[in-house]
Amino acid sequence: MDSNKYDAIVVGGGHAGVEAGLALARLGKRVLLCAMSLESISFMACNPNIGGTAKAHLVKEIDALGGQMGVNADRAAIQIKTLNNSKGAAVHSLRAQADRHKYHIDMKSVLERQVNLHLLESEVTEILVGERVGDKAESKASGKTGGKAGVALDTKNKDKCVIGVKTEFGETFYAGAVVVASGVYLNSDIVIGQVKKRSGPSSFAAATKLSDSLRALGVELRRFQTSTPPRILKRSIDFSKFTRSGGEDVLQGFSALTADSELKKVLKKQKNYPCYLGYTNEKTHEIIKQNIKSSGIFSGAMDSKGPRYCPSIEEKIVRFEEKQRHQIFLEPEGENTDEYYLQGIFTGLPTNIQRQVVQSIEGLESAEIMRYAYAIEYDAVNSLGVNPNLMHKKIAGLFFAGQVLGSSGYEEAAAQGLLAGINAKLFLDAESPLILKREESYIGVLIDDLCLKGVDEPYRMMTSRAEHRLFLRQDNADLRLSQYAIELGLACESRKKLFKKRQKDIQKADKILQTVLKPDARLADVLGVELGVLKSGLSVYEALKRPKTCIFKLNSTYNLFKGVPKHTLFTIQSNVKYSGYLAISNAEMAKEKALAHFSLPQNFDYNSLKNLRLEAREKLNKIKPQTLDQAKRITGISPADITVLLLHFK
Amino acid sequence: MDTIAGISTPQGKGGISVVRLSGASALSIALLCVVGVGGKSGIGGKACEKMGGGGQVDKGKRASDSIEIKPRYAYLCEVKTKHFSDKCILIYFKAPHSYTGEDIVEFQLHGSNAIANGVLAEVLAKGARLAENGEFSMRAVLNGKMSITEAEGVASLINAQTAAQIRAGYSLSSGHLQKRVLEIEGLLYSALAPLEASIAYTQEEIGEVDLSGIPTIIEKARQALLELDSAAGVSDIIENGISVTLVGRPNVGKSSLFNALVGADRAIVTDIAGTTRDVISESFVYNDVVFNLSDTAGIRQVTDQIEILGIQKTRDTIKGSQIILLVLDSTDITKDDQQLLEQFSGLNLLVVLNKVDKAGKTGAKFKNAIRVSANTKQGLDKLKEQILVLANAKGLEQGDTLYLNSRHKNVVKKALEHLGTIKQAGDLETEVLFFVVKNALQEISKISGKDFNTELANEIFSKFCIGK
Repeated sequence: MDSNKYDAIVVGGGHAGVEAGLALARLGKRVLLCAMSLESISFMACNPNIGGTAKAHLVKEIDALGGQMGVNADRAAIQIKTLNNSKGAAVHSLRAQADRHKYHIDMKSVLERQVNLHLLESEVTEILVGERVGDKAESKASGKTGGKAGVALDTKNKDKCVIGVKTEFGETFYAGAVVVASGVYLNSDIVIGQVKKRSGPSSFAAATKLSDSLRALGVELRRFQTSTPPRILKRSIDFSKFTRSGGEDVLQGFSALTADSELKKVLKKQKNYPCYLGYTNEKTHEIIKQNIKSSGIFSGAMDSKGPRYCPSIEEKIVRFEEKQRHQIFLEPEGENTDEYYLQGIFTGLPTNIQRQVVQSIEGLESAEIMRYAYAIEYDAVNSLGVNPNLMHKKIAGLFFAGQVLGSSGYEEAAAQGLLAGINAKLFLDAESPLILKREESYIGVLIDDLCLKGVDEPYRMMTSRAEHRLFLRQDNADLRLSQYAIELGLACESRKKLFKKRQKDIQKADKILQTVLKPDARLADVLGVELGVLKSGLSVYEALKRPKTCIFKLNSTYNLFKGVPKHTLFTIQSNVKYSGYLAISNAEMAKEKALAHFSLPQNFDYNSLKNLRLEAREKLNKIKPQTLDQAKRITGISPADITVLLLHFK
Repeated sequence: MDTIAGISTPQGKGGISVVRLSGASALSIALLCVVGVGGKSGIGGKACEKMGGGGQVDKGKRASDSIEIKPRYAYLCEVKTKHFSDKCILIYFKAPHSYTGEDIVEFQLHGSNAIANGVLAEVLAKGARLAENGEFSMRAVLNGKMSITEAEGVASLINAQTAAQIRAGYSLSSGHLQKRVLEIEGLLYSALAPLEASIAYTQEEIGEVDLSGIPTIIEKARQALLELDSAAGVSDIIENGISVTLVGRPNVGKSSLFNALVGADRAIVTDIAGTTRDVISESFVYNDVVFNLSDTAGIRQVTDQIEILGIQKTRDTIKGSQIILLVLDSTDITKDDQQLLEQFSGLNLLVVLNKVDKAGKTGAKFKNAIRVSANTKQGLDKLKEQILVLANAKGLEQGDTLYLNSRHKNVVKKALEHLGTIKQAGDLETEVLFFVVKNALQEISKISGKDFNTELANEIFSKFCIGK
């Protein structure tokens, strides 16, 4: 076999790239994964934690689908807790402080050991395409046949297809599918105060050629922005001025594969790695106000869109002038480093002002900054240009995933990388794409939002973006998605075994839930009521439905669920507690299904529908939704527009 | 969308009839059917001049060949159909300044069914499509010319029979309900925002979110919905009137009272007990409210097969009535009366003491009874007033009555059901509370039209006559 021919090439070794590469290789494809520096594999350029609200759901789903992030997050965890614990299970979110270095090294080693995967340090400078005749790619260079996209994708209109890539050293590699997961590295500029330099995060080099190649292929690019706070040295911090915020006991890690014994190790060591809560003060705000003009973000040095939900401290002070203090959070960066991440001080201020700002905070008077905060500006692809399988609409075989597609966050990137990898495989094998539905996963919501709504600032996952939030819990991610992994061949034997056991336990629970409990002292104790209140017996289901009943106490009292692990008990309990609301939610889902089956033509000119408002016509022509239900979700499409479509196409 | 056409005036003879076209090709289709736009014939000559006069083309030459039609000008011309020609006025409303928001052409014709039908057939032959029920109004909604509730108000106006119904329709079409609904939506949104913030962001990002105001906001929204709900009861009365049934022992004067109330000798009156066998119904209007009054067979132990059936019918009628009038003979109160009173005690009941013009004070113990005489008409207005009070139908004479149709009523009920699951806001988990409030919001937005679908469209617009 020629050494320069692969089935697929992945451009970039960040959180998206590694998932794409691993998925392809595990599904039997020969993969070349090019990263500009192998030191930047799975580099956590910003916060040293994984998970959090909505993001934990994504990690659990990645794990359920056979991805790598959850496994490695558990391995690198130095502290773990459940956010939103005071609320219901649907919005519980696991979050782990991760050792950045360990996370990188472990992932690199996973890639090294992966059969079929070739890890290469090289900057990809050009995407090579061939002409497409009918369903076949005509390419003298490779002679390889491009795959057929699945039924839902309109390949007939594509005139180009990917045939490979070229690197900075002039090497050419051929493949039928290329996944671009270049993160924030495309023509990236680092901005600190008035200093702007072409660079990737943490002094990794920027990728300066690939943008031009993409643009030449007709891929639409725009400028996005994000920022990261300063890192400070542990011994220069007076921790006595901060409130300690440690880890907590949790039922399960991110991965179903993580053994209880491994989780226990994390729980044991986490007391050594707490986070610390502190506040800015009026002095801090005064310094910022006086120097706001020197900030790279405010001075006009950058005109790109930054994330609203992750505002710089300058923006916070301007926007919420009445607030006298803002929270900050000190997070440890790992076991073998004394760097602390200063969550809350995202800034584009010059270095000397950054120091003044940091040192104005109580407890940080003598803080030594090790790495300055910076803003970074980069080229991102307009996500409306890709189909829901993450393949570009105009170039067959060219996939995009991660921050380059306009998202933000490690978890969002990894989720897209995994799906891009899976769909690249399905494309190569001319099989139907895997498009996860909004009502079955956060990943489905994420990709659907990117492809249909588009984004004008880096997209962060939020639980509110999911219509069926009460159903899409982190504790049932495997029940929702692992079947896909098994069918695709991404689930290893131990995952299959664990999944089967879970399914069986939950099935058996149905019968146990019907068991009637006698109105005695034991039941009163479990329900937390006086014995006298109990007039008659209750089924286990009815008992659990009561807000104050806890399944763990119930089970330790009655020992009904024998041999069922705690995290499965928790799932059983959640299913019961939400059952009434899920019924309402299911009725909604059924309605949406009708719209999902209402397909719209792909070559229709919406300008001919004069009853549609101009904005709607433009959006529909640009996005060309495949179903009415997709059209409904496009921003700027009103209910009345949908009725026009219904009337026209019925 | 295609161009639609319909006859906008009612079937039958009249001064004029109107055929209307709406859609992108309205004008070009209309011009294919006319000649001599703005002719010199004396008909309407000066008025036509004043209205703009338009242009003039040679007889026999199709207007579309040369003339430019100005919007909102009346053109006198000749409409040619397969079987006849006639003079008519043509007015063109250019999009978006028209009822539907599309190009509209109106033909004002002589008021004959045959002419209107002939012209309609002609424009259909030239490429227009027959409008479905309410399609003109539906297009107005789709094109953002009016909200759904406003369109529903138009439908109510078309079907109005009493002054109160007209006011109700006008209230809807003026957006009174829309305003209230938007206020409720605003409240619910203001509850959702902090709930969402507390779920979506970690404490270290935004600190503790203050949720203490939420129960108050939700309660405010619930109260506003309850107001709409009670307005819905009144609206129901405006729409359908009040059903009132006279019941009582035989021969207490139910039928006399019935005749006195409806103001006509409708029921047979005799001194023979058990004269009324079947249920007799008649309507009358009092204070803008339609009273649907039923007279029934007197209730007693009988063996007569017909009378047994009659009494059974009485009981069925009672079930379907909003107000029951238990009629007593003030000169002759018996144990049976007492029994009937007990029997009907759970119902919306008024006790009516009849024959008070005659001597005898036996009815004195019924303190709240209304004293009337079918004979002298004494106390009848007071009785009608009491019925209005009991039916919660007072205040209809006020102009700004909030009006809800049965669809709105159902939406309000469902939204209240959703909010009803929140017994104490503090008891529900934050995300469940959010879910419940969001569902209520989605439901109520079916009134404002923010959640609009064909199912809804069909339900609403099927009530229109074709041309509107």
